[in-house]
Amino acid sequence: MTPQEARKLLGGYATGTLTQAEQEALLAAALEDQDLFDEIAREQSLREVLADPAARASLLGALNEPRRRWWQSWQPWAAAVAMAGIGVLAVSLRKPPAAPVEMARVEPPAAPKVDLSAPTPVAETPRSPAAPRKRKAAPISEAPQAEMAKNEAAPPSPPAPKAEAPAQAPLPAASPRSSFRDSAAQPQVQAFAVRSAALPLSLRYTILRENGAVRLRFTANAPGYLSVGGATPVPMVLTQPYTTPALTGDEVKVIFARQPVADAPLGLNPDIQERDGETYVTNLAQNEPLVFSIPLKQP
Amino acid sequence: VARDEVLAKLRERIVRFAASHLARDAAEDLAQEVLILLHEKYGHLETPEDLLPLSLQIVRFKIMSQRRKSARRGEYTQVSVTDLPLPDLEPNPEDAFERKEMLQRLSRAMARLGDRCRELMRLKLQGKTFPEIQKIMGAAAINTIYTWDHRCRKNLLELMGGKWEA
Repeated sequence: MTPQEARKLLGGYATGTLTQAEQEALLAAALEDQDLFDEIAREQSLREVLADPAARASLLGALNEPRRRWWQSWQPWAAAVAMAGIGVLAVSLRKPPAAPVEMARVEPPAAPKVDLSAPTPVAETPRSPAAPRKRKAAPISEAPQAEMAKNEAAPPSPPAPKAEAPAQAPLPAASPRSSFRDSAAQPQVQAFAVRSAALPLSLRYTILRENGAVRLRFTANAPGYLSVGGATPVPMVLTQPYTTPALTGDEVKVIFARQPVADAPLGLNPDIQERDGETYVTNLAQNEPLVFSIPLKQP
Repeated sequence: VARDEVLAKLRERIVRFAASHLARDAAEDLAQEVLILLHEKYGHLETPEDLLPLSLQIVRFKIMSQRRKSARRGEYTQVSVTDLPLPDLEPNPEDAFERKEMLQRLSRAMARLGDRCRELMRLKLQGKTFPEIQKIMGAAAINTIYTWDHRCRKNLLELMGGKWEA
């Protein structure tokens, strides 16, 4: 008998129920096979317990008792009740989802006031093959038009922001520079119009001194109208700089608003930062014009 | 098989088995003590059916004795086998307690066996041999009973945590 065949008899070794032939075969095989010997050695403790008639009787009594089914035990029921309790607790403690909070709303800008009695020059945009239809430019005054001509490109009227911003509009930028970065990073003007409507107005300017003349070059972070020194507001286009004509005086008042504003009181505390020769001015009060003054120190 | 040949094989098996529980030197000494005991006290036994179960019983007693001694002294290092007392082979309070505990674990585990295994165990505890069990349970072949018994023992061992002794 091979050790593998003899191993089938292991179950009878502990209970002492092997026939004489089976026992001889098992033990002879165990003398030749170490693994089988070790298995028999591990059965020794069980064999000694089962050698006691009282122990056998006790085990037989346990086997003769009707087997308890799973539902007859208290543990499954306790587990089920505990799980149900946890479920009820979880449902009762669960908060209802919060209603969406409207973070910002942008009102559509009012149409600029136009004096119909005065003759207003009307500029026509050059026709392009892609856009054959005529489009009338926004009514602007002569001064900005002339200035825009110097800047080689006439900025189109600022794109009108959508009537209503998305319910969860982005929060205002943390700093003037980041405000400009955020604006410049928007690749699509339409998307920017929506986004910039929620940004605080911000301007970046540089003082240009040439041949004794002082000019200011502005760049806006959002579409709007810029008035320098009480001049007629000129439309500003995103990231497109606007340079003023030569300025005089020691100080000049600057107004940048989403709508044309010729005069407004100075802002209380615009945030002003200077970096790399440029000055960043941001209106901390959102939805109000950015009004500040720039000292013009003559060389 | 000659008695000396049986004892020589027994010694080899005992050394290798004891070496998995004791240091190699201690295992050698343990096997030697077992053989001396078999020679001096049980010289009338000659067959493997008599010698092997007896030698396993002695080995188990000696290993258990050493473990208890180490635990009592807080020792977990090797103990010289010469310090180990010769086994009494008569039940002592510690053995009685261990057997009682094992019996309780067996009872609980057997109560959780399936119907076929419970019936098989019941017949074995009643002293029925495998051929008798085959007839009672109506199995076609004796190998079927061997296979059932192997599975039931494995199941029982799992229910007892993987080993018979606690």
